[in-house]
Amino acid sequence: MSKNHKTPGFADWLLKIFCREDYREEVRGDLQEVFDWRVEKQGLFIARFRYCLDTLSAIRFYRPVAEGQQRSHGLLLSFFKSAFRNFRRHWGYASLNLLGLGLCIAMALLIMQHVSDESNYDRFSQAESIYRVENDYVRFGETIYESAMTFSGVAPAMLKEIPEVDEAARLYNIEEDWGGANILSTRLDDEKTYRESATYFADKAITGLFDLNLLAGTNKLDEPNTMLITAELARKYFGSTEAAVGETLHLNTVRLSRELIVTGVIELPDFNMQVDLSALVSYPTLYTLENGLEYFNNNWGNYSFLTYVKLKEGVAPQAIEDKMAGLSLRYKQGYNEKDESGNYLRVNTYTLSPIADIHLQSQYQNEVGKTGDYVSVQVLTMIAVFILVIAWVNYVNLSTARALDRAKEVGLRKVFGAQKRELVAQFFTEAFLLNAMGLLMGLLIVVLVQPAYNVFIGKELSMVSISRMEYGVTGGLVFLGGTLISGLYPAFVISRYRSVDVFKGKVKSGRGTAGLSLRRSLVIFQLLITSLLIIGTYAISEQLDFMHRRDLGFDKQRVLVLESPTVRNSANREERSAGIRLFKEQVRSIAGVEAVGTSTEIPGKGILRGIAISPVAHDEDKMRAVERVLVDDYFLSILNVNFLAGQNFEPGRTYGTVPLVLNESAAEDLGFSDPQTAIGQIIYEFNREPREVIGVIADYHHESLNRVKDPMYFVRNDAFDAYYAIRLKTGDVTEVVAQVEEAFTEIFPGNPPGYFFLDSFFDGQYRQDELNGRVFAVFALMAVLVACLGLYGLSAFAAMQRAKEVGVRKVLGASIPDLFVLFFKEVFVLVLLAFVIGLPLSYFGVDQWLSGFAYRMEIGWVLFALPLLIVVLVTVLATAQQIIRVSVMNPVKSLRYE
Amino acid sequence: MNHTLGALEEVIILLVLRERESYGAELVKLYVEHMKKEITLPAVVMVLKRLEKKGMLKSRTGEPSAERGGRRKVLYQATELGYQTAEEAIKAKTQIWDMVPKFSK
Repeated sequence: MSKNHKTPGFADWLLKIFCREDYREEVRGDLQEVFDWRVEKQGLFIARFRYCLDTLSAIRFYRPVAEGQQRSHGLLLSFFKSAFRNFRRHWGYASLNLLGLGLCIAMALLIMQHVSDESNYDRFSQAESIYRVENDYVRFGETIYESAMTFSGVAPAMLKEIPEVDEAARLYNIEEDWGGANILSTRLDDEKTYRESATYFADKAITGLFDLNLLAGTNKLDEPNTMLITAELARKYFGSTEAAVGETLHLNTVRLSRELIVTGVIELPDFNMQVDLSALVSYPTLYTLENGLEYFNNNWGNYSFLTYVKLKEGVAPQAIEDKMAGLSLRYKQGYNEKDESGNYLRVNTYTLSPIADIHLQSQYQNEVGKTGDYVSVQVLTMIAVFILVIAWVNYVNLSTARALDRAKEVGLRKVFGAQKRELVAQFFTEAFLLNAMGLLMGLLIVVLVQPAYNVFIGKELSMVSISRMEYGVTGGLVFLGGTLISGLYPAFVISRYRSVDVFKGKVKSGRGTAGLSLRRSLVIFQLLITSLLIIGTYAISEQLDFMHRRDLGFDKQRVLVLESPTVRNSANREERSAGIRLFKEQVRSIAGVEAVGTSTEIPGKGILRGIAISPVAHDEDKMRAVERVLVDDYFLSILNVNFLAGQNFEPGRTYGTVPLVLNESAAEDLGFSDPQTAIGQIIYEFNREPREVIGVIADYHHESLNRVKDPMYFVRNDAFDAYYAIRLKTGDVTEVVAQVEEAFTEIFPGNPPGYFFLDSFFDGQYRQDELNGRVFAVFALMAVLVACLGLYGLSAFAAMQRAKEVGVRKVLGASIPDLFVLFFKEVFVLVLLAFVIGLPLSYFGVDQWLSGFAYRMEIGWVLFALPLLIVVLVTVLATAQQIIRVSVMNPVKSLRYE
Repeated sequence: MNHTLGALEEVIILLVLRERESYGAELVKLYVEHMKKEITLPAVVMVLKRLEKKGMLKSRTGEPSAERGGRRKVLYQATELGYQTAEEAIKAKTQIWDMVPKFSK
């Protein structure tokens, strides 16, 4: 066996606490060996389980700290003893309680892992003073774009003009800006060539801002043609960190092809980073291009540069934002025009966002890297709290239900001289013990289900995620607080009984007593949360279903999409077109291919740059921002979009003016009320270049249903091939893909092919929603389970309490169905009450969530009726056994000893 | 001095004798193989410590090894006393067993 398997960390922690120090090394070594052996023999799951048992059993090595002190804890020890005796005697209640607590704590921990991981982004050591500069552009009062990135000239201008700015660094990715993959390759004997999307041109200051530590070599990002790579990349290309330093990597992009010297290897910080970095190329490399210094250091037009600034201590970002307005006016040419009332016609505004907030809060359409969902994180935190509350509610419910049972014990203890204070302490000890056991059990459950949970939510989570200080403290406080409240209430209720009353039989569980009504409201609360969760789950799944089912306006099935090559033999437009034509012909001749077309945009990916077009030449007022797509003659027919008027470009035909196709919203925007009237009209691109409209298509969903359909237009152009869309015939796909790849590498050598299927690519946009749906479903299920435990315990108690009443009723002639009605009616009242309260709440919540979608399902009555049915069914199932038992019991049994 | 052996102690000391020298993890594996049931490691270690206290085993600390994550193992060997006690216990049992009439249905 070469490698040690990883043991569950929580169990190791347990061991550390339980096992005496002088045994620890021996025991840990032995445990590791046994664990590895079990993994081989019985599999990981059983091995983990047995490992936990082993560590628990190591409690036998526990040695109390000092031996002389025990006398003063005599009373406490007796509390412990009587608590354990009680658990053993009423193990049914105790285990119901324990199971409920354990499950709830486990769930809350799992949720908190996820939440903590989501908020653990960009926690750089100077994160408080690092901001990202973002950029909005408003023209004639209309927002043209809102961008997460800004111009290349902003960072140097800020450093120069605003003294409060301490440091600034840009990140620039050619792949994001110009398309075409970033390709890195070695020129060693065994050449390695990979697509490396996370390759950024970076200013030297970035390593300081982002806490990127050098593992080897030096940071020379201020010199052209150097680069830093991550340790991971160093291993991939050169085998090790040390071997990479001083080596050369060849970078190919659509704009630049260079030999770069690896001057250092960096280590990424151990928290998550919103921007994925794997290679940093020195920013001055860009200056060596033609017009490079002008374009990449003083450009105020292309907003493709991620810009991070560090402000001096105590400087408010608003102050910088205000200064930026003036700065922009001075640096950006031609933006000084004002309208009659003295407002600027074109306005660039800059926003400084705290870097740690970007991952969860950014709403930019051109956001790079990973974004999370702030609302879902908040909702999940709320669910975690609710689930804990449910657990404690269960505890309070079950223990107050047993209050009567224990009234005699209390009475007797009081007769023997127990103070009320001591009784409270006794019951509280019990609560604390049970909670502590629940916590242990919860941790055990987490350890056991962790691998499955990770697969389920598609993340690498562990208890380490929530071991951060702030969570440890909050978690501990919440747990202690919960224990205190849930423990103290029953303790006070029970110890209140006066012994004389108890023995005289005055204490009764009648209807309307405080205990019962409290219990009822708690049950209502539980059912309320349960039904909210069920409705939420159902709503998410229905909306997802709605989105999957909806007609998108194009056909995404069986379309293979290939990304364009980066390295081409010639920059010459004629030769490039010839290469594209050759490749298309080759692909078309493959047996399983029906058609192939090119396009600059692909459904499922947002179009960033709108182009202004206008129905009248040289008239700025009539200009409209419309998304432009360059397509060849086949692309639109491969998507199988619906033509409302006119037709698609005819292959081979030469048109007098360059032809274009509008979508319906674009036609409307330009003032054509009927698609038919647009045909044959001349449209001016950038308000000067004439194009003839030859067709109008119905709007299709270019992006997920969260977004509205934007006005778009398609210009015929077969020299741009950002994407090849290949429609496949039915049959074996893998064979066709292999042949397409082969043709690609033959015609475009030096390019590793990158491809995907349109349907899965498009559906990938719903991944976050699907994840939310699944997480909701699991936790709803668990909440139902725990609520069931509570209901079962409560019904068992009620049945026992009312056995005599049932006996009397039966003697007086009540039939079994009568009794069923009597009991179930009470349960139903609770369910209905919970639901009546829950209905508006859930309606509001669902409506809020749906408002994030541009296309949403109708909220119908079924959405609430089905969950109601489920809750009713579940409550009936949970209570039925006890109710039936007591109803069919022979009255002799319950009335015998009166 | 207490010179009796409990049931688990007996099995463990026999396994140690069989191996001449052994340690916790190995004993767990042997126990599972021979007795066909699971046992937790701390139970085994506890017995080893008890036997050592009774003077029936002696221990020495071994070298750290990679398969134990770089931790040292503690190796146990039976003492003379251990050997004799085990022998007596087994002998006594075999004597009784020899006197048991054949079991017929």
